Amino acid sequence: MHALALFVLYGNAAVALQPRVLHRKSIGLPRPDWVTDAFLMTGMFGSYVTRNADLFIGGLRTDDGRARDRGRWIPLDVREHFPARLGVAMTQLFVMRHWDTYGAVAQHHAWRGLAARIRARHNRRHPEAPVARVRFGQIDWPQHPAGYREGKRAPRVRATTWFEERPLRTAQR
Amino acid sequence: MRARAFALARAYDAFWLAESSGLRMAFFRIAFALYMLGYLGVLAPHVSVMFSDEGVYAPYLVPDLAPSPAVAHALFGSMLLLCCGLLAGYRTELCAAALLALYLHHYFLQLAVKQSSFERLIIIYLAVLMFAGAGQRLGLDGLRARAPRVAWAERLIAAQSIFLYTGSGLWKAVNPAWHGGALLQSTFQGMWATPLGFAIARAELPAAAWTGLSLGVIALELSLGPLLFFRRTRPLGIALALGFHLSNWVLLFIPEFMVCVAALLVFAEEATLERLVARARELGARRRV
Repeated sequence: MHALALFVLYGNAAVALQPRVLHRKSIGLPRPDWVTDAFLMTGMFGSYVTRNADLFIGGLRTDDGRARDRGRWIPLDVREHFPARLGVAMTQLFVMRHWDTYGAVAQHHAWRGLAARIRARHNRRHPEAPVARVRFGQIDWPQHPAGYREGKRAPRVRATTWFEERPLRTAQR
Repeated sequence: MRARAFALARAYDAFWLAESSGLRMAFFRIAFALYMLGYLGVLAPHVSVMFSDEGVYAPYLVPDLAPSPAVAHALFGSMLLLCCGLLAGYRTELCAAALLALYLHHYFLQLAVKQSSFERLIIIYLAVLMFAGAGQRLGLDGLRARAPRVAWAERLIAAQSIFLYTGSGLWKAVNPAWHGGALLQSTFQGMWATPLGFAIARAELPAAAWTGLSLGVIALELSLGPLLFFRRTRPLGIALALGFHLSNWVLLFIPEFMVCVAALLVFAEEATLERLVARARELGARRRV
């Protein structure tokens, strides 16, 4: 009991009460990365954006299944793989924790796993339209107070692919 | 020196092990269990896609150990059952420990990826409930032999809440993006904003008003800690914190932070809670008559 209390108090004192700005100036208690990771409860809404976004997932059709879109990139239903509301789905597809805590390399590694799972799930659910590769990212546009997608009009819309699976080598197919 | 160390240890023990009626933790336990039933209930239709090996998930710090959909449903269903156990105050410590173990499995498999604060709070609350004896009042555990009730758990949860608000205010206070109103204005037009949030964004408030609002949020968060700490200002602190979380829900669609409202119950006066219980019993007795 006392150990848990000390741990919770120390973790909060070292992380919650010491924003990074202060900690960089070596003001405060020592905190290993895992303590920061465990007690980082205070940094929400720390930066602002001027654009709103939707997610997209695309799949490259194989030469199997239906004929009309073989060899072409087709859109996959984002909600089929990420059923939560947009804000939550955004953090899941962006793998926010991996990126925020361990950086771009960890994020890329997590994206590889995520893409493989999206591909496997799609192919299981849609055997008539299997895909060989998956890519995903965001489509964004300037914010507008009239509504979330009010500013989503050409030419202000832009698409950014965060991750695209590499082509499989013939031997792997 | 030695005498001073002993005195300090005694004061430390006296603080954590002070006698308590157990009502605060009982109310917290019930509110927290209801919250967990709601939170997990929302996820329940998506167990296969979120937590099974046929789903889409991003494990954090653990190997990919997602179970089959059938096992995933069984594990998730067990969490809901354990929440019911917590709600009823039945074998509370055991329920909390098992729930924590299962929650950590789901957390590291999928939920952690979101980098959400409220999920860290859930883990801390469950860890505290493992030792809290929170089922002895208003719970089935009260029917069995009783251990002495101490204030340890309610004081730890109170401390966690004070840290949360103070820390959150402090982080915003040192973040230049929060010193103007642009961040808040963009948040009210962003992916978390509700129609009411957008309506405020459309109101064409001057930049000074947005800055005032932004600084107001910082001031509110920084003041909540002291307000909740001192007994005389606690009612105001509870009311402001409740208003803050409700506004987060209606302006930004983030109801998950209502878990913090359950924790506010540990700041309530025991006499007030006793009166509530007495009134509820009175009403129950009248109905039976």
